Amino acid sequence: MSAWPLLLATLFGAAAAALFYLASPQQQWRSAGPWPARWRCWPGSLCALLSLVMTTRIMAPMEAVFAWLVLLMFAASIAPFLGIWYRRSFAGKTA
Amino acid sequence: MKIGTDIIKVYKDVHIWVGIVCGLMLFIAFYAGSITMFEKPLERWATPPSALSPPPPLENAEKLLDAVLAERPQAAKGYSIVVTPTTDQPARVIWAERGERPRQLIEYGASFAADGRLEVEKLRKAQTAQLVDRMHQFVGLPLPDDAARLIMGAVALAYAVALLSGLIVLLPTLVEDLFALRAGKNLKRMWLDAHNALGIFSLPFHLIIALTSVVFAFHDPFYDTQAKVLYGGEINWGEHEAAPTGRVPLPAGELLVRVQAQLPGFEVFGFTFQQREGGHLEAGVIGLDPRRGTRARTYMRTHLDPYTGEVDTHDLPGRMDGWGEAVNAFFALHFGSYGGNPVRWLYVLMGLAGAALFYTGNLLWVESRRRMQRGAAPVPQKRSARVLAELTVGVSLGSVAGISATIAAAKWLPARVDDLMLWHEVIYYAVFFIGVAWALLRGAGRGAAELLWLCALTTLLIPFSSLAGVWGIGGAWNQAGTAAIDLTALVAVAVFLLVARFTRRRMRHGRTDSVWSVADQRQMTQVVSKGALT
Repeated sequence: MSAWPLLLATLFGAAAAALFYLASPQQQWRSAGPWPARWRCWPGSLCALLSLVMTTRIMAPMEAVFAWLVLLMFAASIAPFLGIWYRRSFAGKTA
Repeated sequence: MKIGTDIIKVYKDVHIWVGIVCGLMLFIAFYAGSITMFEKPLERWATPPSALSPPPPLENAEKLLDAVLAERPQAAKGYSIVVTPTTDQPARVIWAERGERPRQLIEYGASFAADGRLEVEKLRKAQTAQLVDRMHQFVGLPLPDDAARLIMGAVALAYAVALLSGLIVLLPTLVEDLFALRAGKNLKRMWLDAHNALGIFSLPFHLIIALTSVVFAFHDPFYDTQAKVLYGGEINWGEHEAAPTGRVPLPAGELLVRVQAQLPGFEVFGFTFQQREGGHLEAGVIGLDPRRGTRARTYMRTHLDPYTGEVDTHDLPGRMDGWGEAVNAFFALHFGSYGGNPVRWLYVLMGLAGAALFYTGNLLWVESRRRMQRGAAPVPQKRSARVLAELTVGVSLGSVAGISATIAAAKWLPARVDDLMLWHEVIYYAVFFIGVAWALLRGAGRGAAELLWLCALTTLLIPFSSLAGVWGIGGAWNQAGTAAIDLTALVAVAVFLLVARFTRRRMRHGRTDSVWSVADQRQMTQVVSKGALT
């Protein structure tokens, strides 16, 4: 299995979950509020799509979709925990 | 979305009680399931080194086979030629013979000594991974397989009910609470958010795991009913056309070349051969194409004509019919047997997140029943909350420590005992029940911190066993290329110690009106002492 498509698929998938989180009103990373203010789903969706494209380079189509979904599920599940960890560790100190 | 409060209450009650009854069993299933994702590396780490000489080249496999058949003619019924020998399959030619017990098959391997003499060894494949898999399959229940399987099926069904009822409870606030994790003074809110964050995004994964588990548990009744209703008593799996006798099968080296030409991207592990009536040979090829999912977890298998090398591809993923692909996908989705190690690691993390989901569910129940302290007077917590907290700590951490202890024992047992599986089970259940008893005796807070140290200690024994093998102490051994298991165990030790530190801090400096507080333990001891005196 090629390392580059795998790495890119993982990075784009993680970035997609992070951008979806950042666009949510409940996000805790950005003190100025959710980003972006309009078209909130677009940056995350674009990264998710790129991640899917990269995953199909290394796996058969059905397996690629499964792997991509599991990656997005995991990254989205831990995003709120990373958010609160960031707020407590960094944002809280500077505020 | 608007749903009536009475409907929400019904689903909430269902979710809570199903979760409480099944949560701890599911914790064990998910934790053990995470470990079984690396079943093969664990098996290689735990298998004692073979005393056989290095396997002869594949080109000499037939010569070795002839020598084996001359000495052990019973091997002709079924044998394998291994293309890439590994520590758990250390011989070029492997076969199985019936043991004394019913259904017992003993595997043997053969090689040539330096002087050309035939060497035969009873293979000692480690049973540790098998035990952990058993814990996963039967949710840790110490019952006969059939009974445990039925209970596991019922638990899996209840788990699906809990998932759907939980989703319905969450629906009215789903959009506004998505990604919410509010960590403040309201601990109940924090545990609820943590539980929802873990559960909502991984819902499709959990639904797949629940439904596939139901199918695995009731697999035999499903097939029996299908055979009776659709096929008039017995499913006809199809017979392969018998090859004409008298022909000579191709050598393994030639079979490998022909298979590789027909199946690009498919790594061949070995060939299996079975002698049928009339002396004709049936063969199979075993290997893996990591781009595709497989129902056998670590390998794929299909038929092969041993006389022509032609592969019958209809059993291979990507070449099956629609129903075959659907069934294959069902298995692969449960096992995470696609995409190689990256997907396996994802499944490990999802499995651990799943275990945390059940743990947080129980903590939420405990937190919901907290008796608040309103003045200076201490408030003992409810017995139900206390007992559930203690059981949650004892069962969860007891199973974690038990699994680590039984894995660590894998390198010490073969030199000392005959029935490895029995001893692995004894060690697991001894540590597990000690963990439960300890939590009930010491209380949830103290018990959690102390059991986390026990988890760290038993997990640390895993790399220590390998180290003992390097130094040749007590009959232990160390297989080359298995350091990943030891490194993963060391990372787990660090995590257990970190969580133990947090738990200890909460026990000492957290709110006193809590089952996790050491103050609550003292109040409980005083209440019990007063009761005993009066």
